[in-house]
Amino acid sequence: MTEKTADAARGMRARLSARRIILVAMMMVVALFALLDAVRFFRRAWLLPEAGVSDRAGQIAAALSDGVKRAPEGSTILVLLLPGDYREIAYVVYHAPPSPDAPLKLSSPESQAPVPFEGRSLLFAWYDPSRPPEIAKMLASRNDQRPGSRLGGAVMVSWRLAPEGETAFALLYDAEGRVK
Amino acid sequence: MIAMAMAIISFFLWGRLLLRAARLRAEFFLRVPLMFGLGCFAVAWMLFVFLLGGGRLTQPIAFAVCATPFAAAIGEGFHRLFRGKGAPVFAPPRRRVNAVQVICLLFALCLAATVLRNSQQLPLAGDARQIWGYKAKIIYYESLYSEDFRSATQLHQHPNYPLLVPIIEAYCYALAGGVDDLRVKMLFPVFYICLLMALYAEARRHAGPVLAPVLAAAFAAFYPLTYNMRGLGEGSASSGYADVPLTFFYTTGAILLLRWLSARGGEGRTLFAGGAMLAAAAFTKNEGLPLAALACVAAIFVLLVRRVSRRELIPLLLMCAAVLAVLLPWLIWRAGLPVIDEDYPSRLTFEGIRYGLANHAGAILKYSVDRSTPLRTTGGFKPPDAWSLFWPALAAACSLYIVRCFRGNTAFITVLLGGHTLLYFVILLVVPPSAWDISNLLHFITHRLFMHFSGIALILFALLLSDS
Repeated sequence: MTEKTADAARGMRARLSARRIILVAMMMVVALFALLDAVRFFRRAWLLPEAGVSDRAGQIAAALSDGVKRAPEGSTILVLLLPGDYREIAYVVYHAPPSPDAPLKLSSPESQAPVPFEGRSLLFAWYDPSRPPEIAKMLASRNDQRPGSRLGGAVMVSWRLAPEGETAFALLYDAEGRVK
Repeated sequence: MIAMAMAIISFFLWGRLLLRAARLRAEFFLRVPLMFGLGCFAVAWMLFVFLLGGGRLTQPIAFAVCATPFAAAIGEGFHRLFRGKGAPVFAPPRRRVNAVQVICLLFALCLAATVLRNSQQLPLAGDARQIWGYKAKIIYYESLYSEDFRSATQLHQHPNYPLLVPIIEAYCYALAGGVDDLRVKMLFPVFYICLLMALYAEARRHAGPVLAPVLAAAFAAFYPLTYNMRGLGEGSASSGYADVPLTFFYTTGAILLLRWLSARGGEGRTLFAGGAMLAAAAFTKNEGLPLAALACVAAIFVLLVRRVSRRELIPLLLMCAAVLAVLLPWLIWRAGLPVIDEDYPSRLTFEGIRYGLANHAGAILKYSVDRSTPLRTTGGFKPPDAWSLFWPALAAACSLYIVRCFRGNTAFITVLLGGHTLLYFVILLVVPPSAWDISNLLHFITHRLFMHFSGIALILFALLLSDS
């Protein structure tokens, strides 16, 4: 090996080594931020109980609220409660603009009285399980969020409404029909 | 709780049985995830075939599935006791541990404990309830032939989504004798832990015993795995989504294929175990099927570049055929299921792609940058975290070692990562505008899509860190 090629090889090794140092340095920066992320994660999970595990009703209420806020402001939201084993689900179905000929049979009298909430109007109703095909129609249109569509979307908020779910809805909707 | 623990242990024992039968040897940190992954897949596949035959997932059936590997393990224990033969079930790691490994292990354990704690909440995040958990309940309460799977008038959402997660959840319900949608979420942190173990095992081969634990620990804290910006932790290991299981199966499959490629003329059993994990990925989420195909294509590409003889390609082609054969019952059954709002394959046309390039490409790039770097698309920077620093670091590493990225077996991971990114880009291009507003969709899936290939991205980083 001539002196020139030996120098070139040494230079190559040095460059390789410098590249590796850069790589390791980048990895250590990522690891350092991972440590900070983990501290935030621990704190959030263990020290802030309201952000971590909370009671079942509270979780359902939070999810319902989350679902409601996905609807555009000014829209009418139908909170549809589905009874029965695995169909114990509530859907937040919102439609903009509100349509008098919504394809759902509202079986609950209070559903006729919209309740203002976060700039939207809520209608509560128990879904009539004798009309199952409506579920398919609702789900098929779940993602249809174009303006003017009759059923804007649906967000499922709970598996089990009864008995815990009722508590959750009471958190949002009190006996006088006001939203807390 | 006891039923859940029994179910999880039964997955490990089923996997152990399969590993024994295949005489596949791997180090502790890869063997444990393989046991869990193969066990989950075996149980889900057996039960799927059983359900397909018109069976109902009752408690006696679940007990029989659970008791079989326990009986085998007890029988083997007696055999070893009286005959003193056979390899130990768990060969303890013989290597000396260093301080970095201990610190990183403690760090990962703390994270895993937190993920487990967070998982013990109701499955309130969207897909966990309305897709995976919902299917599990249909399977448990009714059968695979329930109206909810087939009737056009009574569908649940996404009837054609794969059934691995719903079936193992339904298996847990059947063992417990009732639905417990809260405890069943204990399964998902196990996938998370197994993913970390597999990544550590592979990273160690390339980056060594000091850098590998740091890499794996950093991965453990990536926010899409632990939690995310949305309060319900959608997609994370505690949410009940199938994204972490998919990432686990796909990454482990890629690791095994990489090992097979690394050992020229390597053991067929490593290759076939990799195939099983890829098949499991395809049975976990719809994305898994093209990803499994992509992994096979990437492996074939590497072999062709090496100019191997046709004979050396045969095991790989046999593995592809075996994966397809295993998935065939699912694929046939899926073909008969209605598609209600997402039909991507039919939109994969020149026109569809051209429409996507004109209308979706900008939003895809915007969200990709937003979710994988500290840059805000609206301008400025957001507070950096490990996740948003990792991707620019990987891009920089690939730029520094551009030649090495395409040399030897590293090319397999590079091609896989590149192909995976391209695949997701194309799929997002053809998202039907009638089903999704693209910005709305990207808002809550971009980090999950990145998570799917984050495991192989980490392996690529480890490969580039390698001395050789």
